[in-house]
Amino acid sequence: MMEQIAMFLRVVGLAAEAGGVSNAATVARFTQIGASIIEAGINIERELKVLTNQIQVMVDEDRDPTATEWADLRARSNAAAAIIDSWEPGAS
Amino acid sequence: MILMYRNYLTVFLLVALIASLSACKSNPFEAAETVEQKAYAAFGVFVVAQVQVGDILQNPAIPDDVKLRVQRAEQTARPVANSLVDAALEVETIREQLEAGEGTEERLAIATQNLLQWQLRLTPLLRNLSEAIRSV
Repeated sequence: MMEQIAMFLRVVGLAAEAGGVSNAATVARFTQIGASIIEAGINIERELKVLTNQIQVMVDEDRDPTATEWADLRARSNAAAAIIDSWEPGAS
Repeated sequence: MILMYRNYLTVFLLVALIASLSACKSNPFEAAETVEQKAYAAFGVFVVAQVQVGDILQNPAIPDDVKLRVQRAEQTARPVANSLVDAALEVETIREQLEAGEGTEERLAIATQNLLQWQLRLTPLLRNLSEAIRSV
């Protein structure tokens, strides 16, 4: 799963660096990475599916995320951040 | 001019990326249409990555130096991700004010531009985070 999310995020990151690239080969590389996400993304699919469905509902309802939806997502983020911040070298 | 070219190129490559992922039914970036929905997608993916980082840090089989790298990458991205949420909420607030006959379209345009800027700032940090996770 970690590899899959890393792959997905890598695609996002590569797109952000588009200013530094400018040829068809790079676009093809994006396509290749995208294909590998589809092939490998079985587990990550589950987590992304929830998020995608949530956004699809917003689109269907012709609305943007509500303050409650942002708060829910932020609460999950804060919970994960608490775990991350509590770790110190030698802790586990 | 160069910045504009870079932005156009970024958009083009994002479109190419989205096209490449069109067969994937679980692509939040593809599903999102508005700026705020796209911001939600970006923050959502960040949260998924955070959960992965938490799992890594709690895994005793992973060396501390690797964990430190992943932890720092997440902690670097986090303030920007939180600012993205703040910017999105500000846009929402201004929209509500406009609907109530308050505020101005100009304020909304500025807030929306601000939100876009936070998205642009978050994207390379997500890349760094993904590379740190991938190195595990």
